[in-house]
Amino acid sequence: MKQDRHVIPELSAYLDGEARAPGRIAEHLAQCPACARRLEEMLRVRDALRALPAPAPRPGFDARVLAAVQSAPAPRRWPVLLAPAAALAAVAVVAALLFMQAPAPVPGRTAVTVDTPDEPVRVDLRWQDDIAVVEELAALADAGANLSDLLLEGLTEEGAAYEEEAAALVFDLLAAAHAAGDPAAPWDAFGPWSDDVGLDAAETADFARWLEAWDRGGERS
Amino acid sequence: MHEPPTDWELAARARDGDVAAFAALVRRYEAPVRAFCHRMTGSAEDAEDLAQECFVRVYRYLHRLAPRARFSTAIFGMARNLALNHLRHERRRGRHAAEPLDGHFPAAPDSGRPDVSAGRAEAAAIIESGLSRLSPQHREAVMLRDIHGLDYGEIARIVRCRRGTVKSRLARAREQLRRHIIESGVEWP
Repeated sequence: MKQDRHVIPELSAYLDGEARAPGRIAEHLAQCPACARRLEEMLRVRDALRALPAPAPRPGFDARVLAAVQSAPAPRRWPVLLAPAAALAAVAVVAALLFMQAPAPVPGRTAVTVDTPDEPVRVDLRWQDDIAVVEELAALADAGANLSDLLLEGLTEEGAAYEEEAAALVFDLLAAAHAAGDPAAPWDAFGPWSDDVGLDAAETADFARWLEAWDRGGERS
Repeated sequence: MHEPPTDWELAARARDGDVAAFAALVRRYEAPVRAFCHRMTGSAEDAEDLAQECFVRVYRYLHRLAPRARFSTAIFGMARNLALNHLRHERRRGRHAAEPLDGHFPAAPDSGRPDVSAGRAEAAAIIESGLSRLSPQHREAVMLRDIHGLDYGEIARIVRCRRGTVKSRLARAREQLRRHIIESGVEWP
């Protein structure tokens, strides 16, 4: 086993019990001093991280949180029946941005332009596994008042407290579109998101059918 | 022996209006959340604000949380989103948060032996400076795994990527930290 970039990820995973072939790695380590030394150094890095001291509790922190909580609106259940309608509004915005305003997409890349109060902001969305899609989408939300407002209003009626949900929804839509290989029909991969918002299986199926109908130009409500 | 309530038991009670149960959750997670936000932003002051906002939002989300995963996944997921939003805002304002920590982290515990304590403090300082030089993606991965003890699946859920991506980010982060220690010239901790 050469000590190249393919080995290093496996040694790190080996530390965590996540290596794909731990037996083979153990065999190799027994006869390769260089890899064994690298593993020992990684162990020390991990141990040093684990040994970092934790900050002391801040006096009065819990009281400040409780004061903030009690001055905020009480938690309330998001009506499940509203979820599809709300999400549909978000989907409409995202679809419009992605597939109508977008310039001709470069294979493997999609760009959208968002009008902001100051100037148009162009953001590239790249369909790759290890890029910060969520970050770019949140940057979209940051940059585009229209996108942000519509997403948030459509999703929740509660404004910025749900910004993460909006970003998560958009991320899952895009991931689904990518997985499906067809941006026009990504909805069959909606399960993980609908699980997050608490739809049961039947509601998820209804939602998916509804979105498919919408996507084919059918009724929007 | 009376077992302390689990996180989810406290969350259920808080959802039903038990403020003391929520306060107990806050006390349980305050230090780790503040530490996470501090290392993500580089600022103790910002971390305190973010941690407070994190718990406020968790409270508002209590009715939506279900015990499908450890409660810490929800807490760190929220803290992570808030910290990244903060970094984005700072970047848009021309500030770069990936700077050395502002020095409010506690010293390593005293072992009673000056040579050992000094060595630990130096090692901690080197590791902290190495963490601050990682990208946010690599920093969050290695912190969630090695400092806060989350597993690959939990980290993947929090940062919304595949387990394989967690694996590669951890490997890269640990490798960068390893090199940072070597380049710093200190004795291995």
